[in-house]
Amino acid sequence: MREALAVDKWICFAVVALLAMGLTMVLSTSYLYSQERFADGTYFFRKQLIALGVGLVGLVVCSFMPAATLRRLAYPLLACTFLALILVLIPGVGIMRGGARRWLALPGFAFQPAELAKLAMVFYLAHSMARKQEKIKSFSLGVLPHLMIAGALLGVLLLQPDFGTALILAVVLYLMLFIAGARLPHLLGTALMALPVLIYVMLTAEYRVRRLMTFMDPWRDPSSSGFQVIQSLIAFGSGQFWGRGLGESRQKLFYLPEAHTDFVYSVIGEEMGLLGALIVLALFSVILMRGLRLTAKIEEPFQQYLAFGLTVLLGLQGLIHMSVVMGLMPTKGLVLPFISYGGSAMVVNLAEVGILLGLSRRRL
Amino acid sequence: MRRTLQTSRVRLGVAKILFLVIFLVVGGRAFQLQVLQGDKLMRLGQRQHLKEWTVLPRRGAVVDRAGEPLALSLEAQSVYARPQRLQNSARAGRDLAGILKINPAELKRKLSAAKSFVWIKRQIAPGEARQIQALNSEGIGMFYEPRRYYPQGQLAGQVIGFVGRDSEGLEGLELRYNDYIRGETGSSVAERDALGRRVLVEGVEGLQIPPGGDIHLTLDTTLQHLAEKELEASITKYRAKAGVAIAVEPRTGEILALANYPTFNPNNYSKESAEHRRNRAVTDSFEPGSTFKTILAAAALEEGIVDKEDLFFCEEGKYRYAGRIIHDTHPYGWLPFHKILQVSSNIGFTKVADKLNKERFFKYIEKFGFGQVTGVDMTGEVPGLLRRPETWAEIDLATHAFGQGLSATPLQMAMAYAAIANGGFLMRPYVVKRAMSPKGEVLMENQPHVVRRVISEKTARSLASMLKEVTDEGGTGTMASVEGFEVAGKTGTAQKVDLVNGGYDARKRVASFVGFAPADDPRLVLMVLVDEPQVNVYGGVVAAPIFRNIARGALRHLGIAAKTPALIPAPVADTEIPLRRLPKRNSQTIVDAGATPDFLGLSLREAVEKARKLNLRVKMHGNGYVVKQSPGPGGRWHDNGVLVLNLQG
Repeated sequence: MREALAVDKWICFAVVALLAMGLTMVLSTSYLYSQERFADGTYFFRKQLIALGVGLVGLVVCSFMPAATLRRLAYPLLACTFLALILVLIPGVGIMRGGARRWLALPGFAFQPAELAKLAMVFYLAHSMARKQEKIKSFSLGVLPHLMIAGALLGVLLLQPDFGTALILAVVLYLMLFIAGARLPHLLGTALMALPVLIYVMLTAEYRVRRLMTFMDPWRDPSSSGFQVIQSLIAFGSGQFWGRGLGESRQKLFYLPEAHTDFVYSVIGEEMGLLGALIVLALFSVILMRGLRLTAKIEEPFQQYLAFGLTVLLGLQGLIHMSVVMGLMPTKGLVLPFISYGGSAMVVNLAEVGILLGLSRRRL
Repeated sequence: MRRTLQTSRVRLGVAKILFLVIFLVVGGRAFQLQVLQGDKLMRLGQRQHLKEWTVLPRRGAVVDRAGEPLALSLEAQSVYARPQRLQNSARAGRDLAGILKINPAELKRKLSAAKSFVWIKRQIAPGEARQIQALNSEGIGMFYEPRRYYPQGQLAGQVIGFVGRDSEGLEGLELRYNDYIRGETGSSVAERDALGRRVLVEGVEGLQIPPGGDIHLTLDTTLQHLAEKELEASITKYRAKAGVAIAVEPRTGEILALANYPTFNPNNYSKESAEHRRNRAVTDSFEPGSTFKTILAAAALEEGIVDKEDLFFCEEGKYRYAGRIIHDTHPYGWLPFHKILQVSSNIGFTKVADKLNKERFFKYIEKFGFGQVTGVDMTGEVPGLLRRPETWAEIDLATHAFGQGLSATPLQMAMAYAAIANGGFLMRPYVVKRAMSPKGEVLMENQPHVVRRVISEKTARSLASMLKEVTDEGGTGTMASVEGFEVAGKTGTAQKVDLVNGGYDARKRVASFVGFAPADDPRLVLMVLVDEPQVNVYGGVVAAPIFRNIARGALRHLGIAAKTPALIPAPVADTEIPLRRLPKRNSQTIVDAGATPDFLGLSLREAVEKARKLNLRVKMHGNGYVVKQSPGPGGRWHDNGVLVLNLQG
């Protein structure tokens, strides 16, 4: 029992604190919306509670999985992810919401394969890089295969389209290659080569161009494309230092689109002020810094890479969500881990935390 | 292996620093937005949260001198639906279409819309609201919105005016007394969500918007009804274009009734033309014609240049003056001054004017208030046209003597006669007695205001006795006489100026009668004007009977005893005049068996309750508020003993 609890207390605490804030915010932000749509204010809240329960069970299970078992899961997970990502593109199988096909209808709930893709890619990269550790300095043997597999994953994600997840995965990919010891010229060179592709992808979708323009000058046309950013800034800023108080957000009254998912951090800023915003930021930095500290302590490459990948995956999602909400990055539609409403993300994120905690056991 | 690990540690350190920098940037941005720009962003937010939705204060009521409501503010309900929440939209559609009488197809389209909120119908009647409440259907609801309602419909419509959508008075008393009636504004904002709906956030609901206060008019609803009815009847009979009737209390200047035709119903102001909205009694000026001879007579008597019995030669109907021929309708020889007035001789008055001279004449025209606004508390008043005597040609003295070459509003005319009736004082007329605060304190009270003394009491009395002869046998205004009372007054038949060709239009006339009763103790001044009558054009024929009918009912209503008690006035055909003012609404007094109680202005429910209390048989038509009852208040019962109420709302 003592053995079982000998995990990183800091990460544990940060995640529990974020989950508590998250539940509060889901209730606060979704109440009126679900009242409006389903005539039941707690509809989203109850679904989130169920996801949390399932996620916590998953967390405990994952934390007890031996590293060898995890490593054996790498390829099956990758295969399943590809399958799911292709299935979701098929009309009739994948559910379309807001112009993107992102959900698979499973009995009882809808699942977002993109969330699984994040886990699968980190698993695959950790396993493959650990295996090819000596060849990582070689471009064709150490770098290219990872770029190709990850590139294929990004490709199917872009077909949904899900640019945000693809971006996160690309950053995680490069960070992991960097940590694994790939040569800097290889990394910079491929990144430069990917740039034209990136620009092409950006410019082919009209809404992405609009988002980009909006990002550069959100006040240019407050009535249309700049709307989301402006509303988010208004929400976040009007919280000022102490915030309006829990549940007192004005901006969640349908001024903010998706206040309970993509813009939950604005509402945190509005209701809990700078204090609440900084607490959330600090909790994410705790997860990130403790995760990186754990990475440094692990000697075994697969586990080290896995710990690093999961850590930056969680930290990056948080940072990007916050940056988007505060107008530091173009709008993406990314959720804030542990806080935003969303079952798939909750379950997968908690599984990732479980694995991290499992890795931390006996190492502290 | 060892070397790799070393690189890894360095690179891990690099990653750590990179993330720390990002955390600092994000944290700094949060500080910038919330602390440095917080105020600005908060204001931007408030602009959209607080914009547009204003909670309108409840407007005060407009009531007549007895408290009878003429304008009310109702909290009308507006029905909305939330289509996504409807359990059974087909049934809800059927129910709603039945209650609100709206097109079922359009309703079905609204109810099946993929929207979370749609308006079904704004500002419905109270009865409809009760029925919808009774449906108790999930997904159908109602909001309160203030709505102006004029329970008496067209009654005094032009005087009361109307209110726009934002509860601002736009015309009439609603505009003139807007500051008192409207209630306080400014702080009346509520938060709204992005769909523009009001949000019930704590603090906003508790916000008490001070309502507006009531204003009490000098108008008497019963007299107003009577005046409008008589005016309309005659105008229809003589196929006239328009008309005005004004009743004034001569000693105070209080306006008891002010009727305009065509009529205007402020309940649907947007559908009525400006022609109907105009309060002609103050906004239009007319050449007065012979009614103006009284002004000359007053001046001449006051200046002492003539006496009642002074004789004038009326030239047998044709008189050359200032190069023009002046005619009388009937030729007369020698006539005493009072006879000249009785028969309205133009030639006689030309000679009187000539004797008086134009400067002195003009002094009295001005003293009687012509050429200046009366200062009445109504909107749109004009002063009329008056030329200074320096600009008069020689003939103008004659034309002014019989009321041509100048124009006056009907109200100016009424007030000039009121000055003769009250012993010589020009009063400032008013229609609002007092304005109340919402708590019932008097904020403003109009007191009788003497503008100036115009003539001496002796002159006034002498003139009144002369004017009495006009309605006697041999006068031009015999049709204005009222059984049992002595009526003083003067007829007028003016030609209208031809705006196209210049000069006078032979076919277009303005018939008028203005006078007061009882002649020796005047309680009522009445001015009647009919614009462009067709069948007959003479004031003595067209306007005088209107005067008589209104005066007869009004004198009885005011409780003024007939001078000759033996002559009991016969019941007036199709005019129901109460013998005395009956208890007002909400009063539970049992009225005497002979007279009908007053149901006007009551809601359906109040009417039913009152009828039950009084044990009356009542037949109702329509919904809303009682706008008409038969028999009228105080009238005699029909043989079948049933009271018929017409409701509207």
